[in-house]
Amino acid sequence: MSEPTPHKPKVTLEQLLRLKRHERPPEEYWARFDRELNERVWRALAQPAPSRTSEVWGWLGRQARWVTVGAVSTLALALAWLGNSPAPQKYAATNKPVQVASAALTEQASVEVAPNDNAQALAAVAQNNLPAIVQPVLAAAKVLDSANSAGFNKVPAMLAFATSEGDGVRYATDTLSNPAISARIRGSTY
Amino acid sequence: MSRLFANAKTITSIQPEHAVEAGVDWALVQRVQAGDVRAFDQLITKYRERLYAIIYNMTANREDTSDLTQEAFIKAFRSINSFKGDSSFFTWLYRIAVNASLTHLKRSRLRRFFSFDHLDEQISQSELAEVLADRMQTDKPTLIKELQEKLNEALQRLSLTHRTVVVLFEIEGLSHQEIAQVMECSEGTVRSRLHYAKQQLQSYLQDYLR
Repeated sequence: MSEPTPHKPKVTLEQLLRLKRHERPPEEYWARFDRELNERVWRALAQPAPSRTSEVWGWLGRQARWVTVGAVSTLALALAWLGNSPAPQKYAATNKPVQVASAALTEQASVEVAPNDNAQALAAVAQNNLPAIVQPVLAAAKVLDSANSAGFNKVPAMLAFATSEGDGVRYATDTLSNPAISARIRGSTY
Repeated sequence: MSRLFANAKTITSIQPEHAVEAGVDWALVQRVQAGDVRAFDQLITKYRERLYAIIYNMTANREDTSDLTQEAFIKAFRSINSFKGDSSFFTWLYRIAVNASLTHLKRSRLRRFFSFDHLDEQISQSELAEVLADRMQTDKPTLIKELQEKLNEALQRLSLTHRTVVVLFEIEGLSHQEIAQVMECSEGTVRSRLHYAKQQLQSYLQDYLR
C-alpha cells in the first residue's frame, strides 16, 4: 500500500503572469523620469508640432522603394515628353516675368517666375503648397536643372500642373504621358 | 450636448472603477486643451507607471521602455487637441503606448536584447515563490531570477498581437472590451488571441505549471 502523496497546490499560468506586476523600476527612478519628461515636454512646447511636410517626408521615407519607382518612372516619362516636344527657344528669348498660376498656388498667391529662373525656385514654392505631390517631380526637375537641358523651361510648368491637380505621383505620371494634358500644360503656362 | 452623451456612453461601457477615472481624466484633458499645461503633469503622474509597465512588458528592455514611455507622453501631449472624448482617455493613451511599442519592436527586430527591471522584495515572501522553489528544488533567489527570465522569454516568443493581449489582460487587468478599444479590433478577436496566446504560454512554461 503506497503512502498518500502530500498535497501540492497547483500553480496556474495566471499566477505566474501576475508575477510580472512585481517587476518595476525602483522608486527613485521616477524622479529622474519626471525631470527628463518635463524637459522634453517643454522642449516640445517650444517647437512647432511636426509639420505636414515632415510627416510626408517620414511617410515617403517608409515607402522609399515605391517613391524611388515613382520618381524614376516620372523622370523617364518627363524625359520622353521633353524629347518629343518643340524646342523652347521662344521661352528663353524673353526676359519678361512669366505668370505661373495653378489651383494650388493661387490659394496662396500666384507666382512670378522668370524664364531663366532655377526650376528649384518654383519647386520650393510649390513644395510649400502641396509637398506630397511635388517631391517625385522635384526629383526630375533637379536632374533636368543640373543637366541644363533644352527642356528646362518646361519643368516649372510640369511642377505647377502636377501640384495643382492632386493625387500624387500617379497623376503626375499620367499627366506627363497624356498628349492632351501636355498641350494644356504648354498652353496654360506660357 | 452630443459630445456629452458620447462621453457618457463610453464611460458606462467600461469597468466601473475606470468610469470614475474616465470622468476625472476628461476634466484634466479639457484643462490641457484650454492651455493649462500643468494639468498634463497630473495625467503623467497618474499614468506613468501603467504606461511604463505596458511598454516594459512588451519590450522586456528597461532602457527602451524609459525612452518609449516618454515618447508616448510627448505624442499624447502633442495630439491632445485631437482627443474628443469619444473613448476614455486611458484607452487612447494606452493605444499610443502600444503603437509606440509595436513600431519600436518591428524596427528593432534584428537587434533585440533584454534588460530586466528590479523585482520587488514581496515576491520572495509569496506563497507562490515558496511552492515553486520547493517544486524546482532550488533556493528562492535563484528561482525568482530564473522565473523572471523564463517569463520574459516566453512573452517575447509570442507574436506582437498575442503579446499585447496577454500584457493588457493578464498583467494590466484590462477587460476584453477595453483591450478591443485599445487594439481597435473586436472583442471576439481579443478573446481568440488571448486563448491562443495562453495555450502557447502553457507550453513554454510547463515546467512551472506541473
